[in-house]
Amino acid sequence: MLLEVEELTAGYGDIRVIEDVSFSLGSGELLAVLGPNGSGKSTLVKAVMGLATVHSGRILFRGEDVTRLKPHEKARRGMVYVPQMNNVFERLTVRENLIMAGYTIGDELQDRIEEVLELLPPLRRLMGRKAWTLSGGERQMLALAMALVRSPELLILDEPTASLAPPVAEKIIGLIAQIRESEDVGIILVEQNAKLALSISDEALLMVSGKQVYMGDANKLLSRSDLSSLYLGVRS
Amino acid sequence: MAELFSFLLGLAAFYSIYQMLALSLNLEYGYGGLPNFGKVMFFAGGAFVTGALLTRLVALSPGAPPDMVWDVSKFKIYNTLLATRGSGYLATNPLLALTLFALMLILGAGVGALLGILASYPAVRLREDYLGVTLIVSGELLRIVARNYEPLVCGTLGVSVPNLFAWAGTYSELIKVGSMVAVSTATVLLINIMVNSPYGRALRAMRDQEAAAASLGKDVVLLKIKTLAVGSAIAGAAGSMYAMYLGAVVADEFTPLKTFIVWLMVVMGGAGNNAGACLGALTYIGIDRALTLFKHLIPLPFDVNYLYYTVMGVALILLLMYRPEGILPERPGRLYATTEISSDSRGGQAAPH
Amino acid sequence: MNVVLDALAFSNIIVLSSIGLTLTYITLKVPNFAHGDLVTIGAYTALAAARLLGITPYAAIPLAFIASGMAALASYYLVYRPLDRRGAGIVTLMIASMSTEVILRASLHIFADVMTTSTKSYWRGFLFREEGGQLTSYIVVSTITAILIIISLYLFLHRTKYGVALRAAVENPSLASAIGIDVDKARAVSWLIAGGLAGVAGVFMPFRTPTDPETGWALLLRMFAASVLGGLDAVFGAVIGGYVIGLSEVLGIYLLSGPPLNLSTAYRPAIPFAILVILLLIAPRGLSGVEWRRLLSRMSRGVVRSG
Ligand SMILES: Nc1ncnc2c1ncn2[C@@H]1O[C@H](COP(=O)(O)OP(=O)(O)O)[C@@H](O)[C@H]1O
Ligand SMILES: [Mg+2]
Repeated sequence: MLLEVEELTAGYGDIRVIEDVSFSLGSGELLAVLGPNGSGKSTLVKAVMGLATVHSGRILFRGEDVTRLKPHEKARRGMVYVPQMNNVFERLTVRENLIMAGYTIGDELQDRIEEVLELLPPLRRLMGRKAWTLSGGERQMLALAMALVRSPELLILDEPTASLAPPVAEKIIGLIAQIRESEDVGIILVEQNAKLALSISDEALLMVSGKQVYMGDANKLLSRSDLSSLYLGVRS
Repeated sequence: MAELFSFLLGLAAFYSIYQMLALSLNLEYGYGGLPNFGKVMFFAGGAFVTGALLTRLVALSPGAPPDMVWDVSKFKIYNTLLATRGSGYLATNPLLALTLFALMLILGAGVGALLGILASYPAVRLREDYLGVTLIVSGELLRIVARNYEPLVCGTLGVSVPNLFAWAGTYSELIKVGSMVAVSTATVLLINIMVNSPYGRALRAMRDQEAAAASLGKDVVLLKIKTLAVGSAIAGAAGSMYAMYLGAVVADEFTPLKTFIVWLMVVMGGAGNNAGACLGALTYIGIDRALTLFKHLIPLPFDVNYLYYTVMGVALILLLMYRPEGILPERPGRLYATTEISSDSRGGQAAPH
Repeated sequence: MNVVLDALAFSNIIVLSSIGLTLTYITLKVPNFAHGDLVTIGAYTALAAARLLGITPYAAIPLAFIASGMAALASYYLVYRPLDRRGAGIVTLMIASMSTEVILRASLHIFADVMTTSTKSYWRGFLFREEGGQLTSYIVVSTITAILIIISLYLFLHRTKYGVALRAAVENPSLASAIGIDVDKARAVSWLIAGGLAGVAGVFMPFRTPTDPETGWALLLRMFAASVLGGLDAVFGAVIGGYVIGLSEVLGIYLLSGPPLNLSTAYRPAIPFAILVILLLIAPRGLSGVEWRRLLSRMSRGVVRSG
């Protein structure tokens, strides 16, 4: 198993936001994390990454207990996380951002950046720009590129399509599907747009008010009319 | 015995001054969330106005030569003499002396309030960090002006202040300190009434959630101005009292170290709790006075006060880490207490006496 | 001419220390009130090196860097990091900053007193006198040092991977840690460099002012004015801010103390203070916070319209 999360309870300081969340993810799989705003999706993935306080539970990465590791130690083991907000360094140029993303990579960094630019050609002409001058779609592309530079084994994406125009969002989702094809990687995709996310995912985890109300096959979730109409905005 | 008595008198005197300072900071920061890192400036304001006026006023009454009073180069030399003569004159006129005592407190409070209103201009506009910097350097600038502008408090030499309680003869010290304790206690009562009034509730609402306070229709800006004016008036009166107690005002005493001490008292005692602020003041002053008493017995190649400051600095940092709520924490839930009974019962307990 | 040179020397000290003040500000968003005392530590290190080891103050620059750098590092590890971990807010950090300042300054007083009694020579109000009567050599040395430090700091922060990582870590700590940067170490390095630069500034201080444990503290006002002028979040803004503040103070008081005003030179600090207050009230984010492009375009549009 690539990632196993066991009865995770987490929050911020003394505050508990999510309770008893369990799931596992294998290499090559894509897990969609769905749920209404404020249901704790971001908190869940932050806790997995070590950026939120874990109160109880365990996180295993490739069988190793990483629950108490610091974020940068997890990052160095191949766990890659793209936050929902502030996911690029605004004061650095696009090139500096990509170099930073490959902070832990040695000599192959240049080659990796080249490979990633093959996948995301529009970034090529933006290399010298400061990141704060990018448009929303360009930013998400850069954030994605920064994740890919690091050849992730586990890729966690927190709402990569939030506040993007629908065609741009579809393009990003398409890219994510492409990544799953071409790389040996497990992906956790946090999404508001359930339909879009479920169209490319194997499994789905539905969060409501900090609790896990569904974990299992993505297609079956859509057929659960009680959940899908209430929380996913999907009419069956 | 006599030594113990004078030690206790000194303790009571310094305590009543610092209690006022601690309470004023507690009002601003503990209740209102306004971090005043320039406390010493308002304290100095009251001390300076007392130093600048009291000796001159008293000297003029028995008819000292006016040039000795108004010519700065002469006043610089003769102010101690004038103060001593003034004390003698006032010894025969207790009513005038007490009137002057009250007048100086009011003047000190007035100057403090004025400086407070001035300080509220940046306070409503700047973030905490910029505000802290502004207030700390403003206080330093006031000190620098005072030590260089000789007509104020005779520059670096300082100015002597007459004893307003000489009329009490052998009881002079006792009555002086007694009056100070009375003023300080009145402040405690005043602040307790204030924080338990609707004003106090608005203040805490502002601290806990500025946006919410504003949406409740409270004028946050006006509240800040008012609070800084009141807090600074109290600090100014304390400064005036400090000048009259010590019988001298020296500009260079008013360094940011005083601000630090007051913060220490409030954080140690418990911000947002008046009893805590008073307890903090008592603890600090108690140790400080004892040290002054036993200083000569401690063989150190340096001034033991520096060691005390170092220890206090470490203590404050440790407090922030391990007991940020202080010895006596603010009682929880009081902001949203709906019954008047609960807020009344607090009023009685908050005073430490 | 002498005034201009003196202003330059003074500015070098302000620039070197303001860079560090800005650098520590951007790591934790706390104004380090103890930054002036780090300058004093540098001055005392140079004095101790000169008196005890018999080396020139210039040769003591690396020692001063280390001593002040270590003091800054210690305050980061012992004070700010533990508080930050406990989720302390800005006011708590500022109270801690004030406490650290008191501790450092009181310790310097103790050090000065102990050294005075144990070596039977004065460790207060000391000056570095230059041999051979070459009055201006420290002006040259301090200028060259300041320029070299600014250039190497720029190259470090913009041309090395570690430097870019440091900028990344202070801009967005959580993203930086998520891509494998040890944010804690990056902050520690920032504090070390900041303290070190203050120490270097301190070596030059006794060349122009009699120095005692309070001297660095008195510089704090200028440093803040310089940092705010340059923008508290722009490291190299502090360079411009430092020169503007330093030059305007020394040259300003030179003009004001002459006829017709004949003001006392003791009012010098009023100049950086006035600049600071005016700045805070009109452009609290410093000159870098002003949206120059928008301002310029608005002004040029205004010109077009009126023309
Ligand atoms: N840094 C934080 N500190 C305290 N509470 C937070 C923090 N971030 C989010 N929360 C709270 O945690 C809950 C879940 O938020 P989040 O995980 O961001 O939800 P989602 O990503 O599903 O929209 C919300 O109630 C939010 O207010
Ligand atoms: Mg979210």
